[in-house]
Amino acid sequence: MLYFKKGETFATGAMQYKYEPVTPNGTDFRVHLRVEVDEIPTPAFVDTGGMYLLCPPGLARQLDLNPEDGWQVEHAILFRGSRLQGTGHRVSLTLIADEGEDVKVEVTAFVPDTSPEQEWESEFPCILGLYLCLDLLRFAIDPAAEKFYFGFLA
Amino acid sequence: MTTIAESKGNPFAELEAAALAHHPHHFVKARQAIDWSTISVEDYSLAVRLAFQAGAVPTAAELANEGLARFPASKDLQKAARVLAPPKVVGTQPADPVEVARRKADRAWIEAHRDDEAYWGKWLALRSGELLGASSSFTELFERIGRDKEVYYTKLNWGC
Repeated sequence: MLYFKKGETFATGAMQYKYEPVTPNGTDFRVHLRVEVDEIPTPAFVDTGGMYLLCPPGLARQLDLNPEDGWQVEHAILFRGSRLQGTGHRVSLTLIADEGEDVKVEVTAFVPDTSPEQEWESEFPCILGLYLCLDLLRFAIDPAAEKFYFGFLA
Repeated sequence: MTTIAESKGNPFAELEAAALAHHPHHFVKARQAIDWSTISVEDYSLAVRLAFQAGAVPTAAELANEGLARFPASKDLQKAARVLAPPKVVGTQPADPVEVARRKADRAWIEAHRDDEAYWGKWLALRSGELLGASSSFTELFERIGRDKEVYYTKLNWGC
């Protein structure tokens, strides 16, 4: 799909993305993708300045991620200036191809501990950080075609 | 409140300060000043968490593995080492044409309703281009529609 000059593969799959604000009428534009986490389709945006996969509590409920099964850390997540308690898990993340091949990786996910009525999840989808999440992949974007290319490192 | 670290003569004071300040470089430096051969299993667990809180996540992973090598029976260090392990390749598979068509239909619905104020800012439940429900509360919508691999929960403003 995409190749280095010497013929080595750079990307084996591609999907449509949207460059949109995270919040309605916001200015916080991000590259938004549709991915699967533990086989469940879910929206996500790419945050190369972030780490691991930040999993909204609503999705964690869909996935049946039990805090007692995870690694619990107080004041774990610094999110928009606030410290949130969180629970770490391992989940599968699939970048779903519209062309080429899907790629699936096992990554680190953190779920902020919030009660359902706090509705943290109302404002944010999954956030895909680089370290412990996307750092096993090569990726590139084509803004003209709104395509996100991806493939495993060598 | 007295922490485990303080009760032992505060060998972790600098680590705790780095964690509070969310300062990964200070944490990495402070770590080097500690004789880890004398550290208990409880304090290893504490140090991994402090590293994580400091934002020194690679160091947290190193400490979890170091601690686990010394205390292999520790359930907490096992969990930490597993959670903080590097990503792992699971595999690849060719794009499924049925799933591609399903996603395309969902995108078409979103595109067709992008300016529809009735749905703006709300969570949507879509299945193959069909709207199953909308709500300002994800929890409410999820409880109404339920868990289904074919249902995609998203919002208009994310565009996909």
